[in-house]
Amino acid sequence: MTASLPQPLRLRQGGLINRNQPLTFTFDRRVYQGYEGDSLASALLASGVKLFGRSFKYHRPRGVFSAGPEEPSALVEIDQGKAERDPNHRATMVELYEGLETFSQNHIGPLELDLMEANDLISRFLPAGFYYKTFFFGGLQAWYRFYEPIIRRAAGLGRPPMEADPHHYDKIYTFADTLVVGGGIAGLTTALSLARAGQSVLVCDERDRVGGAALWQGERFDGQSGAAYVDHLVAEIEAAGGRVLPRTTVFGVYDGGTYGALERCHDHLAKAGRRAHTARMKYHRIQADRVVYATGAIERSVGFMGNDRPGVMLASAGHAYLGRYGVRVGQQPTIFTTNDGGYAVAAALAATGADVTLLDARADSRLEAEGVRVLRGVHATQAHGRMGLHRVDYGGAQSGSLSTDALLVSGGWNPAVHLTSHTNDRRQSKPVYDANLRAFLPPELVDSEAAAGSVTGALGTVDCLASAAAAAAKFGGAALDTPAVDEAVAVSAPKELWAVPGAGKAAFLDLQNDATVKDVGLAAQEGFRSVEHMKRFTTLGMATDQGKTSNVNGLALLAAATGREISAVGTTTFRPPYTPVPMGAFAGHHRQRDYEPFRYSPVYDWAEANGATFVEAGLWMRPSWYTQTGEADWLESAVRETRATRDQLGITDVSTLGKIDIQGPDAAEFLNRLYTNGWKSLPVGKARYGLMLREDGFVFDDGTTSRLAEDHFYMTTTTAKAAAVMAHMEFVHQSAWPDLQVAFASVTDQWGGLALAGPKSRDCLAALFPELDVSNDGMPFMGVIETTWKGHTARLFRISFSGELAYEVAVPADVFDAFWREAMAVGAQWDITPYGLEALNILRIEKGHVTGGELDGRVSMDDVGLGKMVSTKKDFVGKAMSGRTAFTDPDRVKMIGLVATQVDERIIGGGIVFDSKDGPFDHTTMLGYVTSVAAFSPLKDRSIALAFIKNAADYHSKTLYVVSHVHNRAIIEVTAESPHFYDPKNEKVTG
Amino acid sequence: MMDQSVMRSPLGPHWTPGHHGTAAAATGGDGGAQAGIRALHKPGLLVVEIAALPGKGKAMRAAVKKGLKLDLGDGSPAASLPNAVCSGPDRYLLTGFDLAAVKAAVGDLGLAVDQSSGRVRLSIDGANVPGLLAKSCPLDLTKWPVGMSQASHFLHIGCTWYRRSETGFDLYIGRSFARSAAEWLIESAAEFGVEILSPED
Repeated sequence: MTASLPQPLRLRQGGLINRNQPLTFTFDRRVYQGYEGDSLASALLASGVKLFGRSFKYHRPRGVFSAGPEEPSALVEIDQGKAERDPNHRATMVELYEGLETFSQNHIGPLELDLMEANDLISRFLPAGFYYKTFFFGGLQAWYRFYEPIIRRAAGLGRPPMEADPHHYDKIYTFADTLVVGGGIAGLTTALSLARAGQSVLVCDERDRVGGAALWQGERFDGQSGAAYVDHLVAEIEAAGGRVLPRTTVFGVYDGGTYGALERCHDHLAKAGRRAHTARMKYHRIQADRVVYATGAIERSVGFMGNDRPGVMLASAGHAYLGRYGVRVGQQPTIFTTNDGGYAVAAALAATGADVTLLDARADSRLEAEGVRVLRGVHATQAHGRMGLHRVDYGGAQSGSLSTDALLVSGGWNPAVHLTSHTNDRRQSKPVYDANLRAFLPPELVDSEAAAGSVTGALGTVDCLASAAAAAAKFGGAALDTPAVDEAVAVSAPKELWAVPGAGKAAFLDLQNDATVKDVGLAAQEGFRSVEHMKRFTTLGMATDQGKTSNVNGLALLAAATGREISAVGTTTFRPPYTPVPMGAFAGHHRQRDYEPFRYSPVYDWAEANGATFVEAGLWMRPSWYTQTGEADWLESAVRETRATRDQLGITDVSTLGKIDIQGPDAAEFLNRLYTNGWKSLPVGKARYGLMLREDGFVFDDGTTSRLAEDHFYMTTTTAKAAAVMAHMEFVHQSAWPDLQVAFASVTDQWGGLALAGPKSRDCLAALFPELDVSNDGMPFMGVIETTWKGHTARLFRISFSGELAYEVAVPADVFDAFWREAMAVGAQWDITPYGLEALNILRIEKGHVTGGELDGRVSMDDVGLGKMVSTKKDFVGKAMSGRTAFTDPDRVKMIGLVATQVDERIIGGGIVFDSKDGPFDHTTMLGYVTSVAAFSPLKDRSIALAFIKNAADYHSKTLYVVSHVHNRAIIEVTAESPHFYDPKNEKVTG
Repeated sequence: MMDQSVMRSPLGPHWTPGHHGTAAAATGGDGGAQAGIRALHKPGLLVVEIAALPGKGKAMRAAVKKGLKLDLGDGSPAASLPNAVCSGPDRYLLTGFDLAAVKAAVGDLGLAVDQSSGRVRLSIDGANVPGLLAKSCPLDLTKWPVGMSQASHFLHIGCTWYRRSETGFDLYIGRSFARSAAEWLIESAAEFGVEILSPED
């Protein structure tokens, strides 16, 4: 264990830290010590560290400004290895643990000697709008070659991890009657009241320990310390069935009572202390009937020169470091306040023996603080100390200069109204300015919303408790005894002071984005009167700050500069997230291979064991080809599979096809209305190819449907459109023909299916089902037989997609693997060859069969040569619209086949078809486009394709040219012919 | 006779009986004696889907009551039974009945189709099941009475849920999704510890 390291600003007692549990950590590789219960910021401050990082734009040295999530300056990187390097953690929110390694950000060279500080020296030449006004000189070339590379190098804070995030994240569905956002005294009190009334209550608090200011402000509740009273409230809430989640930030409010919250589960633990199989963070999607915003308020600073120097911080932060962490932020602190609140921290610091001076901007204040020297009617004018504050100048009723090592500023309080403004589902969603409180308050809330605590503008704990009682009463909470608050902190509305006289370039409003008082004036001068425009011109309130510390001062100064009331200027729009949320939390479990579920065929394991390379087809994992020893690439495998199927016997898995079981006395009539062709005459025991149109007349899907009984059909759809066809059927049945006596169910997953294709397919089928007559007479083309295999139902269909003599056999998915293996064993005598999607594609392109490539939502029945499949004797979905003039336009593209002239040239999918090789190859000369390509067709001994071109009939046997603009722009010469390259008379499939 | 030996599990190699994830003692689930979650899949379960023809819902339920002794009440999802789970309006998944018996009962009042291979039932139980459901299913357990079925999803896989008890649920999913669902169930339940029960249990 490391010997005890100095913590010069740590008090011997006080605070909520465990002095018996010292923790060692590093900052910029230097070793420090803190205690259990410390934040990184409190431990570094205790150790005497003032310099935490460099500002974004000017690289000014910065310290810690706050003690909470609003921290704009002390952003650090946490390093746990390359993949776990995590930038931009607010040091105020990082909980200390043994071995924590942290680094400062945004500097070149050591933190103390940042080379980029040159930006600060020339800052007078880098005002707001500098980039917009400068980087157009030299035109686009200058931008690409010069400006952009430089800006890119300078931009951004911190270094992102360069490897995939190894952490696990969870998404959680969370429900509550009432969500209470914020676990301060007001939130907890409201929650207890509601929980005792029987409501399911969820309290989310962004800090590691709930309690808010009660933990450090020094007030006592019914004689108990704030921390003890908070523990009591939490215990009572949980006893009443409520839940309290610390480290959980509600970052967004969405419509319909939905809230987004991020729970940080691991970041406060060393690796060894993390429970296995648990998530680093949980993204809670909270659904609540009611919400109580108890989000508190954020103190604001005042604009004066050097108000960003390390050692200048919010007064409440100084109080929090003292009360919660036992850290006295300075031996000789100065308080600069515009309200009564500054006196409490002054008195608390003086009580520790510090030499405290208080500058009260109000001349008429009469308040005193024990042991504190008070100067009234004065304000800080300039803070000195580049690497750490050592002096402050003041002016006003009197002027002078003080030696000091900490300057704690209170310019008043901004209620944290962000969440109350996230939704637009009420009349008014923008915060409302209260001129008396000099603060923006939540807009008028709807019935399901309430606010409690300082977010309502309540000043002081007593008022906060009263607002909590009101919020609870709004939602029917149980009556509670109000605790007596002893040693209550004095509070008041602040004097209006956004920036002191003379504040300019080095008087900062937004420490994170280096936006200054002068920048706001410049924005007004440039004509940016809207607060939204001012924000974008100056970058004030951007990034993680999101207006927490800077907004109100900035817009108040804009109001003054443009001669308007603050209420007329208003605020910028607050949007989620309130604080940053890692993308991993939104993804949750579902990323990389778990991005979406896969659908597996019953023979997936067999295929995997037999050399299949899979392709994701929708959600399905489908074999693309089966590699055999010695095969160089996919094409060699696919061509072998194609030849084997044409010459002997191929087998392929068709389990993925959509299957729908249709039953009822009106089933045939239903199909008649769905498909373009007639179905009533289809005999039992026969299948028929059918084409469905969309309402707009374009082709929707195709497939075969078999009649198993008078009132029972078995439909197949394409794999891709299975769900869409089912939804379409539900829609037309429910909305158009609800009286048709038909019911249907998806049976896609019930059946496994294989196709046997090739000259030996009949022999193989006969061997599998020796009791059946599968001869051409016994089972003619489109014949269907229902039988059994080992006692399980089996359905045999004589249909062909490959263009060969072929059969499909469906058996229940549970037995399909066994059936497939038997087919492989039985078929071995004919060298049965499994084929994948690539070979299937070659086979069907040779045959001229269409798939999704052709049926892309833009084609009519005529376009794909199926116009004759329209029954004129009946109505069907899409009939009226399929008669549109545009559908008979002679210029309309229609399907045609293309054959490459050269044996060694491949037609490129998506290529554009032209009738001249001289160009131009653009829309003025294009004939059409390629939809499907067989890289090599054994039939043609070269590449072939299906394409759609204008006046297709005129181009048969003509030479055309295919150019792929997104490939290599090579000009491929092709010959056009019928798309039915193989067996155009269908002798194979019917013989 | 159906040859049962040729039937294969849809759940893939991850679904192996035994303990997965966090050790039982660490979870505190059920007093540390058992894993926080127990999961069971019984292969060979007979599943038949029935759906009434338009306007025949009430009559079909009466026929089912008479023929199969299943009282489906008013047809609401809350009137589901452990072996007759409402999966949509006038639509049910019946378990433990063969197709012929169901067809005989339903007659010409609706569709009856075998889904024994098409639907997989995973049963989960245990003290940490609510924690698992919070990760995987967008339903509010406080508004989900025992005995009620709901159409929803499990980790984005469409499914029908049935609540058997306070902490016991049946999950019906399509067979082709079962392997992903099983894998994700084990991963999601790992923090609580999950015991995959053997089908004989």
